[in-house]
Parts: sequence; C-alpha cells; structure tokens
Amino acid sequence: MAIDATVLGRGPAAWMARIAELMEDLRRREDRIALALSLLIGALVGLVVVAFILLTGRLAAHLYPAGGAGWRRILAPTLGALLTGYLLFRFFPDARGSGIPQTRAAIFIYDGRITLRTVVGKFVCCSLSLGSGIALGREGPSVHIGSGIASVVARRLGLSRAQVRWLIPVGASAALAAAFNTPIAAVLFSLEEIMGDLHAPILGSVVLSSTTSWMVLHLVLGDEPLFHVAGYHLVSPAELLVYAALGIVGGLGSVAFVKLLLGLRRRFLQLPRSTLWVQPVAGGLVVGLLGYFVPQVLGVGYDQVDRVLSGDVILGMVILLAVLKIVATAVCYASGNAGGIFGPSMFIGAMMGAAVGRVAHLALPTMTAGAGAYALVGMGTAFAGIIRTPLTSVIMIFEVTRDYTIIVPLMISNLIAFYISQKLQREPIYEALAHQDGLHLPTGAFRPHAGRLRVNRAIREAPEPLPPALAAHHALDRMKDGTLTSWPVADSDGLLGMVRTADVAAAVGAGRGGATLGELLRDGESAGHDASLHFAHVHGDQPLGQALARMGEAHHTVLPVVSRANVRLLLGVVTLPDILAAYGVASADELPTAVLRDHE
Amino acid sequence: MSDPTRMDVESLPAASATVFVATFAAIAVAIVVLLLVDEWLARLDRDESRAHAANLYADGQRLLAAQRPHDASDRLASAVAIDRTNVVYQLGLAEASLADGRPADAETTLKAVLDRSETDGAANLLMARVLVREGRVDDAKSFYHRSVYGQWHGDSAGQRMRTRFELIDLLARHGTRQELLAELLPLEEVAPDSIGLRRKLGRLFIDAGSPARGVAILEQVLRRSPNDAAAYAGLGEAALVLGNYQTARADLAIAARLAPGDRVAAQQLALADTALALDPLRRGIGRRARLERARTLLNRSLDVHTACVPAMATTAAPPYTDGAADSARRALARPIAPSDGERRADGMLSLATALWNSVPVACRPTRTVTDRAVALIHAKLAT
Repeated sequence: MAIDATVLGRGPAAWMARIAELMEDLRRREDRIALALSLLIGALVGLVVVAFILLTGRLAAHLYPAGGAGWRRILAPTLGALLTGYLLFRFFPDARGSGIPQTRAAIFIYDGRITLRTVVGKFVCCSLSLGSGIALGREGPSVHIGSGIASVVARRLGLSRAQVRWLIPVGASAALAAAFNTPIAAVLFSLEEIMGDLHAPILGSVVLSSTTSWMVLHLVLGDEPLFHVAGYHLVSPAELLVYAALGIVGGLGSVAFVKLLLGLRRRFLQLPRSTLWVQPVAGGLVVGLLGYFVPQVLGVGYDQVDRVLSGDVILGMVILLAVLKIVATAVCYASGNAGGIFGPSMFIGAMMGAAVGRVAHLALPTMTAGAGAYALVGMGTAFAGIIRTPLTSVIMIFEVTRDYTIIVPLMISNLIAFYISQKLQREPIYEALAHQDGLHLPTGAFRPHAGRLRVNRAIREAPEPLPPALAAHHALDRMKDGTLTSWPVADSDGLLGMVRTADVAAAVGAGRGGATLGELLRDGESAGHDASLHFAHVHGDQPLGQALARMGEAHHTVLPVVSRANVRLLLGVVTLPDILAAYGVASADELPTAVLRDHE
Repeated sequence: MSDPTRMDVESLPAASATVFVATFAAIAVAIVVLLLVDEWLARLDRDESRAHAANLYADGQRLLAAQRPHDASDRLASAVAIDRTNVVYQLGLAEASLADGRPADAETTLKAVLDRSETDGAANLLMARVLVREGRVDDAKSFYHRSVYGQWHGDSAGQRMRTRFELIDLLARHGTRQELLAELLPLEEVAPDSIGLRRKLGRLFIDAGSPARGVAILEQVLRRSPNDAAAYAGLGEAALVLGNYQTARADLAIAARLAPGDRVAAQQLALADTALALDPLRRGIGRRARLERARTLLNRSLDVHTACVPAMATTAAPPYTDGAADSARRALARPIAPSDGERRADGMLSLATALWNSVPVACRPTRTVTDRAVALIHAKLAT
C-alpha cells in the first residue's frame, strides 16, 4: 500500500482519490482488514480504557479527598449505587454486572452484537460506580467495553457475523492489556476464558491488539507497573509446603466467595422486577458501612494490594480485609451494581496470601520468605480458584513480577486452588452467572467438539406444543397424528419439557386418562429441580454427538432445540433418525465408530 | 500453515466504500481526540498526585524534625507510593526508617534507589549511615567514598566536604591512623578557607598522628583569629603529642583562660602539668630529679605490666618480658645513691620502655591523668 510517487506534488483531489483507492483495496483483502482492525481496535480500546481508568480515579479522588469526613464513605457509595442503579434500569439494562458473561454471550448467542448504548452505559455506570467506592473491579467492564467497541466498528464496516464474532476477543484482549497492564495474560484470558479455546485461529489478531493497547497505555501513563513487587525468591524447598497450604486456603476462600455471591444473587433475582433500580443501593450501603470502619474495603483496593505486596502486613488487618472484601464484593455484585470480580479476586487473594505468609513467617522465620511473596502468589491462587483460568493466572502473576523464580510455587498453589474449587463448586462463576440470567453458554466440555457436525444440521420444525393443562387422553389423540415419539409441552411463558407418547399411552391405559400433561411431566422430574432449567434439551451449536448422548441420558429419541439466551424458547426439535441421516447412515447399526466412541 | 490473522470470511464487507472510508476516518479522529483527552487527564492526575505526595513529604519532614519518626515514615511511605520515581522522597523515607530504629527497612529503600542510580551521593551517604548503625563499618566506608565521589544536586562541593568530614569522624572513632591521614591529606588542599573547618582539620591531623601538620594549620588559624580558644587547645594537644609539655601547658593555659567553661581544655592543662612533673627528659632538672622521675616511670610501668599479665597470656607476649619485670623489681629495690649517674637513669628508662611496650595497647590504663601522662611520656621516649 505504498503511496504512488506520482501522487506527490498533486492536489488534495489526487490524494483523496488515492486514499479511496487504498481503502477499496483494503476492503477487498480480508487479511489486511484483520491486520488494520487489530491495530486500530487495539489503539482505540486502549485509549478508551485509559480514559476509563483515569476518570474513575479522578472521580474517586474528588469524592474521597485526603482527610475527608467519615460520612462520605457511607454516603458516596450509597448515592453512587442509587444513581447507577437508576441509569442501568432506565437506560442501560445490558451494562449491569461484570461484562465477561455478557461478552461471551455476545460471541456465542448474539452473533457478536454488543450495542453502542451498552458500551456507553458500561463506561458511564462503571465510572460512577467504581469511583464512588463500590467494591468491584474495572477489568471485567473494560473487557465488555473493549469487545463492544470491536463489535460496533465491525458491524459499522458491514463485516460478516463470523467476522464480528472473531473481533470480540480482539477487543477484549486490548481492554485487558490496558486495564491490567499484562499484555500476554490478556491474550491468554481472551482465548482461555472468552473464547474457551487456546487454539483459536485469531491468535495473531488478539496478540496485535493486545500489544497495541499496551503500548498506548505506556505512552499515556508511562512505564509504572500496576503493582510494585520486591524481588522474591524461594528461601527453602520446604517452603513449597506452605505454598501448597496457601493453595488450600485460596481454594476454600474462592469457593466461599463464589457460593456467597451466587447465593445472594439468586435471592436478589427473586425480588420483584420493579425493585431492580433500587437493588444496587443494598450493595452501596453495605460497602459504605463496612468502609466507614475499614476504608480499605472501598473501591478496587489496588493501593492496599500494593502495600501488602511490599511487605506492609499486619496479620489481623489482612484477615479482616479478606473477609470484608468477600462480603462487600458479593453483595455489591449480587445487588446489580456495575463492575467486575476480576480485581476483587486479586485483592482477596493478596490478603489471604499475606495472612498465610505472615503466619508461616512467624512460625518458620528462617525457612520462609516475607508475607509479600505469599500475597503475590495468593493473587494468582484466588484468580485460579474464582475465575478458573489457571494458565492465565500463572502468566499474569509472572508478568506482574517478571520473576521466573515465583513460577513453581505459583503453579503448585494455583493448581491446588483450582482443583478444590472445581470439586466444591462445579460450575465456573461466569457460567453460573450466565445461567442465573437464563443464558446457556457453551461449557469447556463442549469446546473440543466445536467444528464437528452441529445440531443445526439435523434440526426440524417443532410440532405445535401441547398445553400442560391438556388431559392425557386428549393429548394421545393429538399425538397419534404425528410421527414423533415425544412431544413438546409449553405454556404461555414457553417450553416446559417433552412428554413421551409411550408415557401418555401408559397413563391412559392405567386409567389415568384425566391426568394433565403438566402432572405427567412433574411425575417424571426429580424433586427439587427447576423444570424450566433442567428438562433435557440441546442448543443448535452443540455437536450432534452430544445430542445423542443426551438422548441416551433422558431416554428420549426426540429433543427440543432451544435458544441459549432463553432455554424456554423452542427453536425446533431434533430426532434420532435425523441425526443418523446427518451422519449419512440409515440406522444406529451403521453409526461410524468415531461417533460411537464419542458417546462413551 | 494458516495465516494467524486470517478471519473466517463469508463475504466482502457489506458496507459501501464510502461508509468504509468514513468509518476508518471516524476511528482515526476518535483516536486523536482520545489521545488528547487521555494526555490531559493523565497530566491532571500526575499534577494532583505529585502535589499530594509533596504535601505528604512536607508532613513527613515536619514529623521527623519533631522527633516522631514512626509517623514520619508512614507519611513518607505514602508519598513514595504515589511518586515512586522521586529519589528525595525515598531518601526521606530511608532517613525516617533509620530514625525509627528500622535500619533494615532503610537499607531496602536505599537499595532500590541505588539500583537505579548507584552514583547518587545522598543515597550513598544514607546507606553508609545505615551500615554504621548496623555495625558494618568497613562496608560503610566504601559507601562514604562513593558518596564523596558521587553526584550531588546543588552545593555539591559543600555536600562532599561534609561527607568527607563525616567519614573522617568515623575513621577517628573506628579506623586506623593511616586511613584517617589518607582522608585528611587531600582535604587539606580542597577544604574551604573557613576558620571552623581549618581548626577542625588541624585537630584531626593531630589525632591522625601528624601533629606537625596540625600545628601548622592551627597557627594559621590563630594568625587570623588570635583569641581562638579551640585553636590554642589544639596547639596544646599537638605539643602534648610532640612531647613539648612546657609549650603545651602554655597553650592550654591560654585556651582555659579564653574559654573558662571548656572542661576538656582544663583536663588537658592538668595533663600537661602532670606530664611536666613526670617527664624524666625535661631540660633543666637535676640528675637526682631525673633519677627519681625515671624510677617513678619504671614503677608505674611495672604496675601496668603486672596488671596486664593475664591479658598478655592470651596475646603471646614476648618471653623476655618476664626477665624485664624481674630486672625492674631488682632496680626498684635498690635505693638511689648519690653516686648514681645518667647510666642508671637510662637503664631504668630502658626497662620501663620494654615493660610498657610489652603491654597490649588495650590494656594500658587511661582512667586517671597520671595514667595518660605516663602514656604520653612513653610515646615521647619511643621517638
């Protein structure tokens, strides 16, 4: 795309024509579009995130001046939560919460669509919320903002849906690189958590945008690292046992935090929708009251993390801060404030690590490093336990410290925390949050199958759903008209489940022809399950092998295909013969060996 | 291998070329505007942070001056946390930590400064002080030297001079005379022409075992400031070291008269008097008096030797000293006869010198004026 020498010396019209020609050339070359957009999105997102960080900091500095009165610490977060609660309810409903599950939903459900309104809302609401002292983080919102900018730009350029989807992690990595000053970890996080695939073919674009954004951050804010860490080293091999203990503490602390957050959020979601705008005030008030007595609980708290990392540790205080931050962040997030849990995870981890390190150093002063080293490893440990991205957490701490010697203790501690967290809290936090919002995002188990035959290849139009109040003998009459072995049952809110023709016939045969389909469905459910979430179903982007496995588990040969955004929205059905036809075989006897192996 | 930047393209972008150009132009404009806004915000942020850090630093310095080093180090740590590149804040924090009795923390802070700027004069000086506090005098000396030859901001000559004098004071307390002299000699040429400094320098030369240089400098001082009691005291001390007890007495008497409250000068005057009374080499005394003084000195030296026998056992004293002690006892047992001449006096002085030299320096008493006078006379005899 070198500028033609003949253009030099000509007038503006010639220049404009040449630029238009270059742009047209760019438009026709997908590799160049990818390259140009990676760089531009990296720079743009980097600048927006830097503005977000600076504005949040300035707002906080004005709301909490040095030597300010204690009442400010109660009033500011409460009023901040009230204002953002209203803005979120009235203008920016999609800007609530962290932003990571929303970003993943944009990729896997909404064809990469994140609106400009959401981006603006996230920026404004999170600035207000975090600046006022709400105990949430800026990284998740930054990821949502970055992804949103990438989405807006891509859609504005008229790129295909697939291209728009691919650009979401490009924006996400740029945002994280600027927000956390760790470009490599940003790339890994985008691939490991956002995409769920470390081998995604967009690696080059993600790296480019992350690097560009990081350079912008350093251009504007200088070379100051986010945390100032002294050079730590392993004092004795026996110290690895203490790091293992930190992994256990970190794992249990992470599970406590996740369970508390999810439990509280479930309760808030059960409140009437009309209270949605005022719910964040609960978070603001709690953090304000805690902050009145312990100001370090307010806000992201990276200053406190920095002090702890430099070894400024008082045992009682770090234990108190870990507990209070778990409570404050859980309440703030669950009540619907805007902000993420990425930063608070680091804070909680640093405090837990400092506490373990301090105790170890008091007990074994000659065999252990200072508490700061443990605080550092604790950050990664909590991240691995809460966010469940062990690789990202190791690289992130490595990037923060630039010290190779910390890697081994970090890996030991992280893996133990990750294992404990996985055992005690099966669903990762972002997937659980999405589930609470009715979004069924693809899980890790799904990802290796991506690229194989999908359910969409075998989907067929669903029959007219039967109402739950329909009596069994009437239902049987309707079922006889069709060829399906199971039928969807739905009320005005959507799908309730699938009822087998054989079960209905058996009920009629047993003299229960008057029983309703709703009653028959309930008979088939295990006690305590929420029918709206737990009936057997598949999504269109899931592999056909998974649909077969699910048919086996549910003893149905017909499964409903439902939306990821709303599990009760019936999109069609998939049947066993259709699946076999999609594989190119006529019956189960002829199934390819590979398919059968998948099911085992 | 596939191109890593390749995207899954289904078709060409749907937007027209115009929209395409307009979008890229809008992005470019947005980048420029955001860059300006960010720079402005960052500058505001930096300015406010620096002002806040400066206030914290001023607070810390005030608290340090008010002897509240703990509170001071808290403020200064906050200032450093805000502006980590500011060496002045870091040095203030190190100073406060040292004053707060936490030399290890001060050392950590200073190491960080010296990692970035190993030639910083002030940082090296503080590190030297920290090491002195930790009892690592030899390590401290090298940091003093780095400080002397390091970079200083403003009044570098004065700072270097003060650092040299601090090192010299340290050497006067902990170093050897050669080290002290090695520091003083270059200083004689470069020290500013201030009476106070020259006076101090003169006295240091005397301490370093170069009394002639000290006398020359102090005489220059007296030519400019004839009533300088400290200079007279210095001259008196130099004369004591040189064995000119009469001169010493005269100078110290003037010093005591000019500064009646100077207890040190008064003590030195008493020392000169005692030395004069004990000195067997003093001119004008008769043969008998010389014999008496030699006998007194031998008696005193034998006492010191006897008292120091246990200490000498551990320091492997020369075997002949036992014989010298016996000879001394025999010489002292024999009364002075009118016929005794210079030879007997010289013999007693030789024995006294042998006994004195056999005693370790650390064991030689200095508690009383007489003890110190004996030591002075032995030093004179050694020359």
